[in-house]
Amino acid sequence: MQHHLRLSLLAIVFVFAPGLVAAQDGSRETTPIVTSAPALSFFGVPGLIDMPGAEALPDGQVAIGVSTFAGQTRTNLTFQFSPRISVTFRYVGIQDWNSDGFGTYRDRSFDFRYLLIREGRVAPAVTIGLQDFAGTGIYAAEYIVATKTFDRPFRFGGQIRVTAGLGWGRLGAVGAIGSPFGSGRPGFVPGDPGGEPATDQWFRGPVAPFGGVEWLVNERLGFKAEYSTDAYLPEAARGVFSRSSRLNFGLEYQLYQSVRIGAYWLYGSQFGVNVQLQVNPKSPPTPYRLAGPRPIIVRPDRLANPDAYDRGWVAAQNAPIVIRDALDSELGQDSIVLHGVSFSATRAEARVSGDRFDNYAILAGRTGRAMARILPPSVDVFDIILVNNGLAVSKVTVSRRDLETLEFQPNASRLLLSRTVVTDADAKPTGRGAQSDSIYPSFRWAVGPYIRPSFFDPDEPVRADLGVSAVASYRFAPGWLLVGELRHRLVGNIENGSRLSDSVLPRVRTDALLYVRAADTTIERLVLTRQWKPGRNTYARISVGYLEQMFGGVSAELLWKPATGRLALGVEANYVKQRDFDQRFGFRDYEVATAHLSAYYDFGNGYLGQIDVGRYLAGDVGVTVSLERRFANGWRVGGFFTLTDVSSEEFGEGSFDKGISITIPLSWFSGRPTRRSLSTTIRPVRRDGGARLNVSGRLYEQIRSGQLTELSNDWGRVWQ
Amino acid sequence: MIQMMRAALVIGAIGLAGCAGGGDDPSFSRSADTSGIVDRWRTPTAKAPELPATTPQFIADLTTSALEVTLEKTGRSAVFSPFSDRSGPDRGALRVWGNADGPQIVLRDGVLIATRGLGDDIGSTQSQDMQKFVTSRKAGSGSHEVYLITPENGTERIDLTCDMKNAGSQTLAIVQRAVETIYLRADCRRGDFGIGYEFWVDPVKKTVWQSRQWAGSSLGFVRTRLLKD
Repeated sequence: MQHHLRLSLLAIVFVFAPGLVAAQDGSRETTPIVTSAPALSFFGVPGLIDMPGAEALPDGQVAIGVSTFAGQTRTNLTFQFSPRISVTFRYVGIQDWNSDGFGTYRDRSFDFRYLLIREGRVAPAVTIGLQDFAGTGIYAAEYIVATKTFDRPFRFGGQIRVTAGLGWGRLGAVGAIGSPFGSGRPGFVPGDPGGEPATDQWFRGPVAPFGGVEWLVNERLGFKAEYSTDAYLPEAARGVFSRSSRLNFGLEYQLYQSVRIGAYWLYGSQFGVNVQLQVNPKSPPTPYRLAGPRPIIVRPDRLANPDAYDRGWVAAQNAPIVIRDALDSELGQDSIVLHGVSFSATRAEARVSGDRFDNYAILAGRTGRAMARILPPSVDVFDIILVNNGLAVSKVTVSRRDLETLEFQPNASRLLLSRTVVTDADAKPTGRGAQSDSIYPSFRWAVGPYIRPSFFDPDEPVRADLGVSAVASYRFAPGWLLVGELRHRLVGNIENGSRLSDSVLPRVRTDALLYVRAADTTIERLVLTRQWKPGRNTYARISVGYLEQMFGGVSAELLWKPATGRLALGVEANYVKQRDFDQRFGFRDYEVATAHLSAYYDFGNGYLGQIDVGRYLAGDVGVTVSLERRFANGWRVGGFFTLTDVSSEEFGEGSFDKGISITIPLSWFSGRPTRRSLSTTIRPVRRDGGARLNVSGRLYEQIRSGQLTELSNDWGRVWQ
Repeated sequence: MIQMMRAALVIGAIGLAGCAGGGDDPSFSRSADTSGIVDRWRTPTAKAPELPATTPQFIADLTTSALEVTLEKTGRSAVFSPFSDRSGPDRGALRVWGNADGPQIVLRDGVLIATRGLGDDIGSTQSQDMQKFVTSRKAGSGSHEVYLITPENGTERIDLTCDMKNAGSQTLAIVQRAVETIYLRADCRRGDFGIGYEFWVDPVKKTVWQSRQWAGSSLGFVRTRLLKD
């Protein structure tokens, strides 16, 4: 347990805190602690100590909390998905359980909260919540709660937040006032596979009132007192701890803008600690800084200097080469790669990509500037083709005159966007021009550390392997890519796991331990990919080789995605064979054909949905539903679940595949433009049902970032 | 011993983080326009190395105009040089000032209308009333709109209502040189939020010798001081 707590705290301190704290150092003397984020409870949701409150976190907020008392440690991850909806994932370890086959009992659970009423001048905030709504039910509870904030009440300074609510399940265990929606409530079953929404218990059984007060003395210091209706019956029955009071008290201190710590006296006999870290994707610790651009050269007045607009230059034999080389040199100063240029006397097209910029609006803006500096004055219209991995993802058409006249106008970015046209790009350049002859072949390599984490083994909840990764890629023609990754493990303890697969399905994922144990040096992937644009609004990919850690074979994909549309449709088919455990060149006997039809929809405001229907690696057939919140600066937080024709019993613990995914762009930490990011997918349990091939380079992600929706979201930086 | 060797290899591997090659990305470099200016970013809290002091000799040695820019919130300061100029009959004289590290500020008739490379930048500004005030030095009232670039790559519009006053003559000391100016002050408000803009303007020409202007709540106030016209 101590190990679990220590690891959780280390994860917070080393993964998140340094960047946040470092960013504050420079201005610590002048930046007061100003946070509108409510404090978290021991369950990681806005609230009191062990009881929930009604306030919502700021939109988009990500909150990580680790709380511990009486041998119980809860690690909570909460995401404010929208202004009213939040979800929480929790991992708990309860020491001295000594029952049901567990010494230390470990469990995972999800919460869902909906803000019914926002706090107003008179009205309190009101929230309805489901706690542990789809797990084994150890923390299962439902509540409706109200919180009201009072500024400088009576003679006290600061603020007082008063909370009162009604709780069912664990929150209705003592002080019940009745069972308004029926008394038949199934209880907690240790060892139950869990995973399915327990609708038969929601708001059933006794309901009890709970409440408390939080006094925020100043921007740092706060006190809490609460009346808890959680009797801790499962814990008391197993001798974990027995409470002697219903009252809890706590003191909290805002250590940094993002970090709040608290010490508590709980249930009359226990000392507790709660460490809370809150970050918001909209508030990076380091502002995004990009060196200013070169100025746009404004053309001379056409009436005063008509000779400058002469079109004779276009007939010069060496014009394509001269213009290509000049533009390539100009763009190269911004690390922009020119793939080719074509032109007429009045219109020019440049095909560009940028490995450095994580923002296509900046790429388009800087390319437009370069074209305005290089091209003869008679060229009035610029077509900027945004290229990603050899695919032309969109055409951005801007008027040169708009670039010249709008840059320093009020609301200049919005003005330019209103006059810019984004359309589908031709697969290949048309008209007279010249292609870059220095891009292909292109060889790149990188050597660096890697870390492979493994979560939620009951014997050791956090394990990891650390080693060296060498990646090499070779692009020998547009759209062609050969990439390989070799890994060598130096240290780690994943191989110490003892839980081998007990799956009754083909073991397409649950043999992970055998893969780890088989070899230290492995070929992570070795893939030849060809991707191209077969027609208007369509994109295609074929990948062959060792596609991922556990499977090799062939993967083909076709995507339809209009440059300005919200909907995309795709089809993917794979024929793969399971790789040998040592991840060299051999294969095992298991082979399978999988295929999926996919629909992607952009709901706007950063919300994206995806549905994939098809056959999975274990041969099961079903559907995966994904919902994601994306922020323009690259943050992504989402969740997914997969339901297939595999029964809960066949699937095993968790009943079906589900999880959450988080992507954090490195530029958010550093403030420097880079396309690198940190990504992880957290599954409560990894089983064989509903498992998809992990082929890299799926088309939708490559295409979408350079098309209208995301360009528009990023357009505020177009003049940078 | 084996564990120690492995640990050493891990440290070595981490040391290699980011090692890469074969790319076609040239290192990013700034224009040579500012090469004549001694770069002297300073942060009081960061213990930056000692840099040349701004002395009369330092100013005399400059071969181009120079503007000292200070971010009041952090204490950082640097000397900027002209990067590009534009002028129009109805929009005033616009100058982009740049620094070798990449930051730029854009002044129109001495009024701050954009910043780049500072982080939490001003994207653009509707500044006609403020420009008119600075160039005419006549008291009055008007509006001032600031469009800030948000961390989410959008823009946030801040509308300010300003009362502008001519506070009379003041003598500035700029690097041991006395400069006669007219002190102008604009008290701007947005709801309960108040901001003061200050300008010290040449009594004869349109030159703004010194100013203190707001660049958003994150960036704070930007101070400018014209070292060499």
